[in-house]
Amino acid sequence: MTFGYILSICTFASIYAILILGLNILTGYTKQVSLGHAAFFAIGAYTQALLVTKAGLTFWSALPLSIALSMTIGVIMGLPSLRVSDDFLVLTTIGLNFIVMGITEYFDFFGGAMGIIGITMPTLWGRPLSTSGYFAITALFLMLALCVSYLFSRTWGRLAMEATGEDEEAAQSLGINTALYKIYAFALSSTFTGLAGVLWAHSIGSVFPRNFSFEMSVLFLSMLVFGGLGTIRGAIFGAFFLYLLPECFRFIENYRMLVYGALLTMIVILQPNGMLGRGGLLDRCFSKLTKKKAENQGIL
Amino acid sequence: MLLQTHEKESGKPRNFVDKNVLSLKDVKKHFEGLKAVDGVDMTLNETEILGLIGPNGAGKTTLLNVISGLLMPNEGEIVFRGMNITSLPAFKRAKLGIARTFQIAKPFGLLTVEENILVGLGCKLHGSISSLFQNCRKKEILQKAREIINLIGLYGYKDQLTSSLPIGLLRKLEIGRALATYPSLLLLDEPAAGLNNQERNELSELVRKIREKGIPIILIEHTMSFVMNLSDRIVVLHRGRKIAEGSPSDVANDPLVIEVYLGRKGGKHAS
Amino acid sequence: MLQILVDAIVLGCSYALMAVGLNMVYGLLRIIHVAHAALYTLGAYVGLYCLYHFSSSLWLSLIFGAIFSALIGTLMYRIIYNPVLTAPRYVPLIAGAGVFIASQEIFRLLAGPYPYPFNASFKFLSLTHSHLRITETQMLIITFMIGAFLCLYLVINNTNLGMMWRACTQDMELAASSGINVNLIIAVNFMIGSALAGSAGVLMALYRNSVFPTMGAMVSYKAFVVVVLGGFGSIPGAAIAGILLAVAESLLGMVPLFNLPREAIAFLVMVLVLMFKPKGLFGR
Repeated sequence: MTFGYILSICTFASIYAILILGLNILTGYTKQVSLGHAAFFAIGAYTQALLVTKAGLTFWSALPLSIALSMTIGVIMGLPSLRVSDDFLVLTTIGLNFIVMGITEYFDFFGGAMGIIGITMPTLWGRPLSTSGYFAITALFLMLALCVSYLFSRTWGRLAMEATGEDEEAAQSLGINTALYKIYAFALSSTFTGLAGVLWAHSIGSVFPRNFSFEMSVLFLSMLVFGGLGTIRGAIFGAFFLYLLPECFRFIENYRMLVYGALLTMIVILQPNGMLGRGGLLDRCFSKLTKKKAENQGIL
Repeated sequence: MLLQTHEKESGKPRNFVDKNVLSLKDVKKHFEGLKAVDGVDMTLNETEILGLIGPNGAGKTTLLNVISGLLMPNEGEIVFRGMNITSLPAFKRAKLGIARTFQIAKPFGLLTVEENILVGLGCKLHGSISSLFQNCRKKEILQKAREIINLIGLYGYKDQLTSSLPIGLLRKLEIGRALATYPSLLLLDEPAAGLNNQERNELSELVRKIREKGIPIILIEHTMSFVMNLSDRIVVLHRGRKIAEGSPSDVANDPLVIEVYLGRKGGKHAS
Repeated sequence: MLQILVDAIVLGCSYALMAVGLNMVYGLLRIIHVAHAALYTLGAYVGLYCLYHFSSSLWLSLIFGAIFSALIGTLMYRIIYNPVLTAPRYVPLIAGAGVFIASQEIFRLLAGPYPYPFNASFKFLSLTHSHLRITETQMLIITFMIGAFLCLYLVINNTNLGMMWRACTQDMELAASSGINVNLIIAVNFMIGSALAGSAGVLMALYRNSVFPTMGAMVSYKAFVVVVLGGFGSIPGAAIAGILLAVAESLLGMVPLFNLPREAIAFLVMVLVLMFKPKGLFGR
């Protein structure tokens, strides 16, 4: 465990945390379960990779473009949610995952199965960033994402999204245009996820179609469900815990997907609100410890 | 403060020539051959509580869904305060001031009581891009939420998740949430179902308080004593048609109503 | 051309056999049974084990594969789905996805990541014409599929059990209150669906001559598509849509612009269908 290695796993964990914050808006708030979030991730990563390697843009100039494109495609991919809901929407997101993977794999423009390589580290003041420098950038973006998520969790928008996710009829009877908020959720979620994709492409230096498989989508969803749907603390906890678990205990590495799968099943059956979710196991422990009901219970 | 705002909200529409809050003209709603609502004409006046009764399957809830916009009528016209709202979606009607509760309570279970009320308070703002940026926990907004929570008597449960509340409190919460939208028409779908006597009395008290604030109410209810005591006027539905209309005592003595609805002569309690 | 069609139909049979189990579960419990794919792979591995350790007879491994899958499938229901039946609808789906992901890993750990050959000797009809060749395996798969669907159709429409099953799909609570043992019906439902998935696993292992941990993934994703196309809860729909999908994939794959991977084509078709007919092509 060298210092550089620790830094790089922390970088990845932060990137996943940003992504899960995005997934939380979609699946945690509007309850639109996405089992295809790797597709949104792929769009951010591929756009950035293409802009940097083929169009010759720098990290900083390509970043806003990639995020804007992620958001746009996110909205387009969210359109089916206006027609289908529940299980059908889950199947649609699984489908979108395979379609995006198929497109990146079979068009030479996206590098095909060989992917796109040679995505260099971003430069700052004319010098390429070191591993620790890149970690600092990622951590900054994570802080930014956290701030935005926290502020968003206090807006009317979040309330309207939660209402939409809980009961569409009731939400409509309170003046909420549920269709619009579903699309808002897709837009916001894919913005976060696109940012994560951009950061990921640079930290690993290459993108391949198989990096964005259905299994990754399951992993993302397990992170969120494990931590607690609809809470920021849960999203962060889930992302860090599930990513660092196999990294810290190498013997798990070989059984990674087994652990993820089993955890996902067990958590969702025994603790549907996740470890840190509203009314979840650890949540209750904490409230017992602190003896007083937190003023903002269910907000952070 | 709540009262004042209501005065302001409901002051405007009084300029209309049409004195009716709501009028339905020959409204029909059919489900694949089943005529759930089959040509109903109905009006509602200011500050009136209208009781909507009828046996099971008479089309009461369907009619309420048509008024609130969750269902679109096949035929007919709905005019709300001089405005034809027949083809408006539910969320736009809510913004115009039509609020409702549901027969099976539909609280937002993962939100606290306070947040449920806040969702209602945001009614006019929902949908705009700015709703994604505006803080909903400003002092004055929380103050308004607190007033409503006090009115429905749920202050002690303010920070509880609603999924953990018993049915009696959920009914009150639903009414509070509807009130939070500053409605100028309130639709209550069987608010007393599943409540015990004490809860029912508290509920009548609440409904009276709301009426005193100048909000007209349409009330669907099966519990006869409850609806007869509260309503100014009663409309009886049977198989999607209006079969009687009038004051509670008139309706209770109407031979047709007794025949189709009360079942046995002179009975005060059905089902 | 005709040869491609025959190959596609054989593939379609495997989709249909998988889809019917998914469809029966959806019709009864309104659950999308993602873990169904695990039973397909399980059937193939059990069949393989029989082949290596007991006898070289295909029939024995087919029977064992089906029985084992049926048992595990029923167990899955008891352990995973039964506790979450009243939960929000995404809960059983996520639980199933977890089991599916974990199962691939279990197969890999127990049997290794490499594909095993599946050599079974058996005698069956075959057909060879000048340009057209239907091998014994293909013949067997088609016959098995037709037989299975005919049996299922007869059982559902003509027996007491079938009547109870239909009653349960209409209204579970009403069926329970009229004296039907709902738990038994659900168990039988899972048994039949899982047995079909298991036998599909064995047959496709024979056809492709390989068994590997992730073999269930592709076919089960296709099965979702088939269920959507055929309409949720419709069993004849599953049969028709399974074959249609396989044929469409093969034909579209030959068009230059559409030479995407087959699963991408399948899902593209599914998303388009869902957009225009949210309840599926033949959905109720």
